[in-house]
Amino acid sequence: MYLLKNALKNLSRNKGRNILIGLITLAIILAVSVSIVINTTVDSITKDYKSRFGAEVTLFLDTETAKQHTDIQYPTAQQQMEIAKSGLLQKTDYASTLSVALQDLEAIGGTMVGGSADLSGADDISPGARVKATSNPNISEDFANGSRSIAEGRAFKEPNECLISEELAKLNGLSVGDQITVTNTMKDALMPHTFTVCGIYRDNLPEENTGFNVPQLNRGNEILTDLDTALGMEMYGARGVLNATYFLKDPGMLEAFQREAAEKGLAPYYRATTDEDAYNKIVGPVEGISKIVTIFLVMVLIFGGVILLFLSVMAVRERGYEIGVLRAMGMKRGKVIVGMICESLMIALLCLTIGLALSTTLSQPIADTLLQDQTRIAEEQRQNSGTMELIPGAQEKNTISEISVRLTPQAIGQIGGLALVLVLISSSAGILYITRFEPMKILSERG
Amino acid sequence: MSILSLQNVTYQYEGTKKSVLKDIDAEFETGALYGIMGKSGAGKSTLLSLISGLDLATSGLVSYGGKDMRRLDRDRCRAKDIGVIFQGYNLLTNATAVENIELSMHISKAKMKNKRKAAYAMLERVGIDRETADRKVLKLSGGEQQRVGIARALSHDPALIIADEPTGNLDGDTEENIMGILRDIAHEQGKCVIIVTHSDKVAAHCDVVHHLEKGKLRVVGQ
Repeated sequence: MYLLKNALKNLSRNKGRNILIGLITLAIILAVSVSIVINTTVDSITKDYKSRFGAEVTLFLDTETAKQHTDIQYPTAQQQMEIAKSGLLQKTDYASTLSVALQDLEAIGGTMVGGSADLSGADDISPGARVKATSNPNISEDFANGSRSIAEGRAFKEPNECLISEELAKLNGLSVGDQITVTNTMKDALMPHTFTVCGIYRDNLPEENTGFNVPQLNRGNEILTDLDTALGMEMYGARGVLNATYFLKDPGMLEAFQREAAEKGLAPYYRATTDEDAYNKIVGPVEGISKIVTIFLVMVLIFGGVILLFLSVMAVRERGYEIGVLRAMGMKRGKVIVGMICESLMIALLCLTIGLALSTTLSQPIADTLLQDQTRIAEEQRQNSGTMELIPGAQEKNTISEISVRLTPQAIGQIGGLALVLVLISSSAGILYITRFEPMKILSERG
Repeated sequence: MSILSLQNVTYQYEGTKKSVLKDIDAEFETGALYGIMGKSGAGKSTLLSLISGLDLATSGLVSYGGKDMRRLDRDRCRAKDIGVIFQGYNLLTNATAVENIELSMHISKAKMKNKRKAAYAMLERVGIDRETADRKVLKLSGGEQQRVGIARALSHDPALIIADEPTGNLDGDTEENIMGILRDIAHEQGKCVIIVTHSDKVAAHCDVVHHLEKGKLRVVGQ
């Protein structure tokens, strides 16, 4: 107890030195606190996204491996469904696309349909629309994120029901309850399929000028239906494309899933991969902050540690006499060390309290500024690299535009741990000095 | 009863071959006041460092209470059994006089309830009033500091008191007072007091006077 009291008294006995050490410690702790508060928040965000994107897996053509094969076959619907039975998955979402011709109807952006818009010299009919289906109960992500909404009628419930766009309905005078027929794009195998229009959707995305006037790529020509109806269409076997998105129970199961998919017949040139691009687009700026903050943290710790060590050496030279006297009075080495550590701890504790209080105020504006910078840089890089969406209206992945930093118990633990390290650094020179020399040596050196 | 004995004690400073102390033999008993005299540089303070456990002899045996000083916990000895009055006072200059005494009591784990009160009493015994006791050591005169050093050495009631020029900075009256205290401690409380001094007047108070010359210690008065 007297050690603590003496340490407390020593703080006021050596005000000048302790204020200097306190200010430097406060500056280090404040910088460290802000860095750690931002980093722990960023970490939790990236972990969350990593688990989401790391778990979301699609089958991707590995072009390098594919070069070694002459006959590239896209995985069949049956193959993809077989893979979906894996015990490593929590669920599987399917999206199906089928290019079709509209029978006796006009497509948006197209001239004629119904078999008369022949490609020159070919036996095929130019596709005027796409039948899109998904296993997602929200019809598609467009409806979930508000890009599309139902303007009239309802979503499909029964087999062979479909949703069409407002533009397509207006162009052809269609309304809810009408029937539309689509055909295959091969003249000799039309395989017509009739849908009942159960609803009309509105596209809320601004019109994009892609530079092409291809009806098939126009979002207004998309006919939306349920997956079972799409898979049941006669022409599906010939031209349908099914895309499965698998959701792993754990992102770490990717390799095991890849092996299992290969065992189930997935061609070697197909790989199960995560959506890295989307992940990088969304989380990239936030990860950029983490890198900057980590570099800053390391620099602060290195420079701060060196300054504290220097001050510690200077303080011990100044305190050599005091240490010598205490040792000459019979105070054991360990107790002198404990006393010095107590003093450093008290300074660190005071600085920690002030530092934590200030960091909660300063972290948010600093994080906002860093995020703005990182978002701007990421956007510039994207523009410079010329990346663009090939399919208009393709699923939009928005970059994280704001982060809400907060002081978590984890952050407090880390900051406290670092404060302890600082205490050890600032006491280390004294500890070495005390453990190396006898009291007489200390007193005579001082003389 | 012998409390401290020196047998063939030799001391050389590190890196030198010349012995400051050569084969010294001596016995110090409880209840007596010893004086050690000698010219400056004769090795008096070095001898005190060895018998107070602040330093170790190059060869020979220093034993306290019949035990080899090398094998003893010397920190504990200085804290509890030996009181040292340093020539240069060696006080904590940023602390007050009373805090110096109190800290010494804490280090020795003295079993008194009110250490602060006991510290004031100890200081008063050596002529330091309460107001002076509450001043920082840095603001005390040399004589006052010396008396604080004496009070600190006596504060934990040690069996052996070693004093290096304890009255060097004191006026005649205070010197008499301090010597009276040390004599009483030796004769009435049965402690062993060893004083290094240049002063014949101080030596006159001692029961046994040793002279240190050319590294050898010999009894010159009893």
